[in-house]
Amino acid sequence: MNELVTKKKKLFSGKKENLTAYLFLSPALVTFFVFIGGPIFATIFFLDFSKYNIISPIKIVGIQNFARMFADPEMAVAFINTLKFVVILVPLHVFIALILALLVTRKISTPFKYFYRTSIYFPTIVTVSAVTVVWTYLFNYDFGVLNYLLNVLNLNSVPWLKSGSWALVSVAIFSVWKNVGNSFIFYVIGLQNIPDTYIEAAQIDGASPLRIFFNIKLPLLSPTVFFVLTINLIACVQIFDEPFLITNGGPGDSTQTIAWQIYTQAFRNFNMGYASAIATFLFIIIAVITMIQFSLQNKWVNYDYE
Amino acid sequence: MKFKKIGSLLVATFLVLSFSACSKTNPSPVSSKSSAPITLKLCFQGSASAASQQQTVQICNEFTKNNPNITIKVLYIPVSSGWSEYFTKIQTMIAGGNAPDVSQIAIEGIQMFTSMGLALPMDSYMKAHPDVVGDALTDINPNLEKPFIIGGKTYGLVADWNNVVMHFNTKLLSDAGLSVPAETWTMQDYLNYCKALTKTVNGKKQFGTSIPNSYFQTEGILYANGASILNDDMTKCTLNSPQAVQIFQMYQDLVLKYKYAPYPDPKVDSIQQLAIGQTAMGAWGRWPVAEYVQDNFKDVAIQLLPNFQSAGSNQKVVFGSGAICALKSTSHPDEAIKFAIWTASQYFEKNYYGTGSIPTRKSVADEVIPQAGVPQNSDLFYKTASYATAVQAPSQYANIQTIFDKYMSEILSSPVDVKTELDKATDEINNVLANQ
Repeated sequence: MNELVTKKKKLFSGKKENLTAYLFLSPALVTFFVFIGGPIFATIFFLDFSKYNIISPIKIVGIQNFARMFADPEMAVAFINTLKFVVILVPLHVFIALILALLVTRKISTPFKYFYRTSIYFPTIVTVSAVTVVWTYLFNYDFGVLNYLLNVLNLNSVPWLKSGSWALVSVAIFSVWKNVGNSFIFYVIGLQNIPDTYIEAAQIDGASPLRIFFNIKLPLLSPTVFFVLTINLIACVQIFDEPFLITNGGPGDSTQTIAWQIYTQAFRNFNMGYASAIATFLFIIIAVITMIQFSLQNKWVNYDYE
Repeated sequence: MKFKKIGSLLVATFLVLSFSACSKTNPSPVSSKSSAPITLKLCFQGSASAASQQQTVQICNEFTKNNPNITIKVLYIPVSSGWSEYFTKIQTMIAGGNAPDVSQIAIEGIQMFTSMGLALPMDSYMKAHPDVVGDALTDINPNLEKPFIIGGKTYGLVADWNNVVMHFNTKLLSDAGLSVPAETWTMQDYLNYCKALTKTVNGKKQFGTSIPNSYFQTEGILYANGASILNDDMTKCTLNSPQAVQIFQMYQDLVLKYKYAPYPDPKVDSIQQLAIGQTAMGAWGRWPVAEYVQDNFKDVAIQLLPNFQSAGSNQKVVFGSGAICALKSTSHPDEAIKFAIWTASQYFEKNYYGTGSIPTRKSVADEVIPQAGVPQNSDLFYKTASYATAVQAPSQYANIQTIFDKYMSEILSSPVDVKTELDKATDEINNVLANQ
């Protein structure tokens, strides 16, 4: 009998604890469902099948929005531009951040270490809309600082924001400067988590720094590399801030991305339904890419040492 | 333990309720005869300094002095890319249940607002309250009012407007041995000025002219060559007409071939470029005057745009006007319309449009424009009021502007075939006009 009462008390106190936990989690859960989960659900299962301009009543149009998306030449341009950004930016973010992290985690004096870490991470926390004003002036063809420096070195001015192909490069340069700090910090943490004993043992055995990197550090860092690769792929497929603020999709349509099209259709043309269809398709693309990444991780990501 | 549990429950409940969306429902319209205190929310486009905002509040307080039960709450909506973005924000506010009662609406948006049923016609109120209307209809040039009379209904009394004229940095002109050209100057005169004013001074490049990259200013240039973006009833795009192609080709050559003009970066303040001597000429309305006064830039004069057509032909001049309109979403329609009419009063125009746009009342324009002190020949601003032609802004303006901006930047950034690009732009714009 006493055993039964004890069991009931334990069960009841467990349920009490759960209830308290859920009560304290409920504000966050409600916020999530109201502001994130709910709109996502509405977008995927309702809005993308409708015609809606936020003023007039919603009209259901079936798969018309998706059909329009696949037939729209502007969407084809946006997909190609997005692909270009992904191909350019993801390797740059992943490798430049890794190189910077390796340089910073060498045996250098602490003040320098902190200075480099701060300098590399600082652009990440600065408001993008503020720094794009500065960079737009830097990139100005006729009066910008970059072309002035090039002219001083007797080099020709570069049409940074004037030419379609250079505009892509300009946005990529800005994006790397602005966002490499994020990946850099993850790599620093990952490198710091590698036990020194492995490195020391390799050094005792006479391994070169390059050998140590490829045979010890990189495999042990692979979970971090996988994480950085995944978040950068997702971010680059959704790239919007930089092309919107620096080039506004131009010149012409050379820097219009999928996210730019979503914004334009939703908030300039008030085609909420069409914008939702594009957003749903983008979500599917990102989900497929991420699933492929996760399925391939077994082949190269090494979690063994954890 | 019991109190702890109750306390946890109360805290959690409070937090849940505080995060819940509490939608504000629009109260039902109040009778105009009610003297209960009313607050009207007024939206303006653009950023304004704290001092300017305070000045606007003080101007609106004058209305409250004569209407003690009505308080005006002023809200500035900063935008980075012009009127389309502003109208987007207004519509979002309306859809979100946070609609303003009255809003500044430019000619670029009035067709859209009326076609979506967002603006309130004022005719019944104006007919019933001639004392409120006063002399507005006689002092405001009727040509400027036309864009706000749609389907026979008046949706706003225009309070400000702009045409497009050529601004000159007179110091750079005099350094080049030139003076402000005559009103009858031609395309060749313009190109000669561009050439003479493009030079390198102390290692710094000075360009003869800046190229307008906005829809409004470009329409002004097109009008000067007998072209336009749309046809007269705004049902078809005419960007690929020979006269329009000629203008865009000229601009492409000015930027890429002759290098008489810098690439018109939308993020760069081209008015500042004139003031600091990076460019010698530029086409704007009266809105740069605010910057000229602020920067104490006095070496500036204006002239009508060159007549790009053959000598003797009548030159069209563009204008755009704006009004404060009452919105249908207001709960106080009579008060909103009364305030909207008041913003076309002498007092409001005189105090609000001292520098910046051109007041629509002739009496105010005659007083206020010379007071600014700049530019020289400022009488030209109001001179065109009677015969200027409204900028073409149908209800699909936002879509059309996006397409226009895309092809404009394409043409000016690389040596593409101008006719081909304008054909593509025409097709896309015609598609928009046909499908919406």
